[in-house]
Amino acid sequence: MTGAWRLRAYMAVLRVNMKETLAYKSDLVLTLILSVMSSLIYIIVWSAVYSFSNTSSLNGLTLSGMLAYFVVLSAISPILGWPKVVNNMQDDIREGSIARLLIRPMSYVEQLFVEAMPYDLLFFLFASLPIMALVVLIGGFGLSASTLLLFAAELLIGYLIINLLGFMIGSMAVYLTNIYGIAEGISWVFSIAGGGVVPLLFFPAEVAGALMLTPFPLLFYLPAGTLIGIVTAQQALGGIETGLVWLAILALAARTVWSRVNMAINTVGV
Amino acid sequence: MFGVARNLRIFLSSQRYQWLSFLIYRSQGAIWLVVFSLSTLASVVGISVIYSVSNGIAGWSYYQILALSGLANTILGVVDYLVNPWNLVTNMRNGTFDQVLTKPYNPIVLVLSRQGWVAATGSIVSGLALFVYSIAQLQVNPLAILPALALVALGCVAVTLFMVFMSMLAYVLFKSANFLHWIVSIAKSTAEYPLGIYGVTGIFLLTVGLPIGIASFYPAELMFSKIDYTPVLVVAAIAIVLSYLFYRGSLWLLKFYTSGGG
Repeated sequence: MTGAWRLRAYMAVLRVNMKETLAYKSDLVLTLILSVMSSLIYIIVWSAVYSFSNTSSLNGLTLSGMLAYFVVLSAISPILGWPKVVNNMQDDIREGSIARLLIRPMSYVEQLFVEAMPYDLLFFLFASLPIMALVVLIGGFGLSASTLLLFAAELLIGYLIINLLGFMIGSMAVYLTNIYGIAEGISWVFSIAGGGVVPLLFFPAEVAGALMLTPFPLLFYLPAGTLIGIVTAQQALGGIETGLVWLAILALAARTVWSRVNMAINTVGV
Repeated sequence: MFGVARNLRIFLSSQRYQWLSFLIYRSQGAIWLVVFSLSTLASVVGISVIYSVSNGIAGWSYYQILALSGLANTILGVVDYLVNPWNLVTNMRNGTFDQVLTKPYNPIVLVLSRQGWVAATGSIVSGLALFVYSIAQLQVNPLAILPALALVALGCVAVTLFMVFMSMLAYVLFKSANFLHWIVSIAKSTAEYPLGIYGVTGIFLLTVGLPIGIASFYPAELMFSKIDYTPVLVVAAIAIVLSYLFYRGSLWLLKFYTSGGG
């Protein structure tokens, strides 16, 4: 398959899936609103913590900084905190439609990633960008081109990492069929280890240092922290380097997992 | 058709079948139980970090918040064990829900006995372990725990039937239930902290709307002597009324189910 043909084919898959995503408009709108709200809960929790401690700063982070952190998280965590490929793989395996997808002259794995994109694209355009623009304008964060570049790189690497992790979790559906709850349990760990509940600078230095070596900070702490200025350019660059290493490891692991799982797929040929 | 003993028998038979299926692969089952308990572990880490850098939350001690978190994880584990809204709506949309309606049993009982995750037992057990450990540290009077547990049970029924009702409503209105994943996520995040921090609107919504507060917050308040029995009786009455409304509402919404011929 030539490069241009592949691109056309995947654009067609993307268009079809975008229409499918838009078919359930009310569900989509509710999902957008609720997913933003789920991170905003922590704004209330941390406001209560600051208020009860009667302090304006905890571990060097002011209340307004903390609020900005969680508003930015509300804009990025619905994309980086939950891999959509999990839902799609479970559906494909449960309903048997994986048989139809496997015989197409396109890679199933690539189709899977393209199919997962429409919701993320819509969320990014209609929720993430406006929310982040508001945070930057109201919070008065002086953003340089290099900060934006670092933020974009973290976002992109984080997106690839969460989807590769999601792919490996989704592959379990071949053996287990129902993996949605498992994915939810694991996503809580990603959230805690990545700074989705508590910014990593609140952890003991050794623990935070160890967590920075994992891929999870790229899903929450590093992008949000870079945008609001609690992560230095040097830390961001270090995070990106670590992320690239993890990306290579996860891509390799995903390939190995798929080569094994691929042989175990059973379908009734729906 | 709706005899309690009859429905209880089919529920228990389904549970036995689900557990046998789950235990066929024992080591795998053990792994999933551990995975489901991770959300409780994540809660402990989050709360411990908050209490290590601050004076805590709204007059609740570290172990009191841990007990509240343990209760929240247990209750949401029970809900996950019984209902999977996402699968339920998918089954209704593609027509495989016919299998439920054609059986001579209460359809809500069949939904509760077939649509959940057995592995959510991990969340129930880990939540209970955290709860028991925390109240042991607090040396709570056992006599104060019993009425609180009765309220937990009532709240648990209300939250479970709320999820069934919302799944049916999501099917009727949108034919899709992706947004319910976020309702569960919000319920979990909110239920781990005292309702007081969410203001009057939050207290109202988490008591009468999404009744997770009835199952976790009020019982914890009762156990730690933060409220007396009068408001608890009101909350218990609300739980009973809500459970009845969600149950009747779910049965009514079932009338809008259209078979897909699956």
